[in-house]
Amino acid sequence: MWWRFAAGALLGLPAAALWVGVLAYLWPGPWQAVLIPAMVLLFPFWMSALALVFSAASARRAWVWMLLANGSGFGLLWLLRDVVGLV
Amino acid sequence: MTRATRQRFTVLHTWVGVIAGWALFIAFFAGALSVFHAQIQVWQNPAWRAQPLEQVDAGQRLIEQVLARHPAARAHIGITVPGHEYRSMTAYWPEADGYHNTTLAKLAGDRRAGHSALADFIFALHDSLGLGTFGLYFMGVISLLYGVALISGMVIHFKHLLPDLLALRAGHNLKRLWQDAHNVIGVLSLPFHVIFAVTGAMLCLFALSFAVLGTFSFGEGFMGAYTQATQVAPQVRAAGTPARPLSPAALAARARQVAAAHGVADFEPNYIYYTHYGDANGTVTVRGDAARTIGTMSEIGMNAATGKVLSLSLPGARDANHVTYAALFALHFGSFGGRTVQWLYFALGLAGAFLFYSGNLLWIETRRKRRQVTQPRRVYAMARFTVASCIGSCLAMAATFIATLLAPYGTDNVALAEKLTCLAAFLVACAWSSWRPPSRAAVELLAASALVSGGIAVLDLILHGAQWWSLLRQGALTVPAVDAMALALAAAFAWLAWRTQRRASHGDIHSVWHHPPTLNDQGEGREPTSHA
Repeated sequence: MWWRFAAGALLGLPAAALWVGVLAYLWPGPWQAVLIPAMVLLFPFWMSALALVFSAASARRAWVWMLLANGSGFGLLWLLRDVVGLV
Repeated sequence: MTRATRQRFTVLHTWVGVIAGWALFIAFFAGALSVFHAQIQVWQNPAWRAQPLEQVDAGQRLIEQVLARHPAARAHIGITVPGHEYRSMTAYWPEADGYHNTTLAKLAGDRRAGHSALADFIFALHDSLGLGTFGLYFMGVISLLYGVALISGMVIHFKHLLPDLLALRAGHNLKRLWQDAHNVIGVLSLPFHVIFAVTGAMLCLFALSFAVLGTFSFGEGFMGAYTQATQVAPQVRAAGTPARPLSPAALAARARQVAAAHGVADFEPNYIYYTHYGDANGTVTVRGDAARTIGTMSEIGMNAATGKVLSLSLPGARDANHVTYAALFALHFGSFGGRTVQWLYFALGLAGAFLFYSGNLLWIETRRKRRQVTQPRRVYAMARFTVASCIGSCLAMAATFIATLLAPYGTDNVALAEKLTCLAAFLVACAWSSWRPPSRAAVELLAASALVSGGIAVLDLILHGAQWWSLLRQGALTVPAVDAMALALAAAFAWLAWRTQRRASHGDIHSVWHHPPTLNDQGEGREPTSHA
């Protein structure tokens, strides 16, 4: 249980931040225009990550899921910001 | 969902509940009281109760007196506007060690003035358990666990959500009844709990969300974007040429006018803050509440000398950021629907406290050994812990109100006396519940809470009876209403004490809530030697 929780606590936060960033960049208009709604989303995302890790079949899988969430969020954010050039 | 998953979520729900429940109980009970922060503030200063509302015209004098003593406050100074929220004007300005504040009465050396900090202390218990910055971060983590408890609670309860929603099976199975009560309150007030878990975490962990969003998502531009997204008056440099700012009274009137021109007829200014006071470029922001909207917080930014509107955040005339920002506060503090919503938040706050209390009771009930009088050691420990933290904090808060009434007769530092009384009462309750068997400690501490709560009203009548009746005759109901609330809570505590006593003497003997045969419970954790 503790290993799962650690995955959600440690990796859930950056994953939540990255995905909040992805949504803010995807939203029409500059990300600055939806900054506060994005900030509001951060904690529900983190809480969901903390709960979701408990539906993984094993602690190892929970860590893999969280790493994937971070990797995909990071990749998408990079794609949107630096390749597509969204502001 | 597999059985194993459901099992894991049950364990998760149990443990985040046990870890966070006691702190959430205190936050919800103090939060429910804090809905009436303004009313408690009137009550806490007996010398001031009968005084009329201070007039905003005196604001100019207050600002000038503060600036004469603290010239650095020119950079940033604000005053509260008397009205629904505040009775007197308080000036606030930042210094190196944080915000300072004062009032005209304090500046004039009035020793009676505003020494009690009761309402603010109850609020501090709500947002940080009264432990300052550490407590604030701690409560942020608690809010996070609270969110996890909500999600996991819904997951395990989901299958029976609708069929069992309104079931309250009162019968021989006490656990069933507590479980039903816990579930129905949890589910029906879920939207309210989601609001608190999210806004609570945000308000407490602002610094953390800043750090991660700045680092991972938005980069260097984040800080500036945040300032723009939340402030109304633009950032300006001082021009260096002096210009006389408009008075707070004139600015409040002008703000009302501007709001009305934008279709907000009921704008109530409650805070006015200046930057670069006395400079030609100086700005002023008039903040207040608008009715008939969720995001009540409204702000109008103007040039302080000319009154020219620079920017504004009014219902119907603002962007997504300012709407969300205003709604965030209104939803957390319940400031969007007048008295009705205040009472609703009060009731839901107490219901929330019950949710956490009943959660702990369920933990105990689940681990109860049904065939032996003496219960496992950990069940005793949890019972003691629940009695100390939940009932003890109610007793401590009631005692703080007593300190507010009595301390002025013995000390000048009423605020400190209030804090020490609260701490002392809480420690006594903790000691009491670790010394006495839980069944007796619960009854005794509930009875003590009832006596102390009732004592608030009785003592207030004894000490300020004449003033009390004259206020009542004038129809100024705030003070009598606070005392009436104390009596109502006293009645509720007394009822709970009576019920707990009945269970202790008439209920199932195979429980920590049953009175042990002798006064001490040396036998806990062991098989009982006799069935008395």
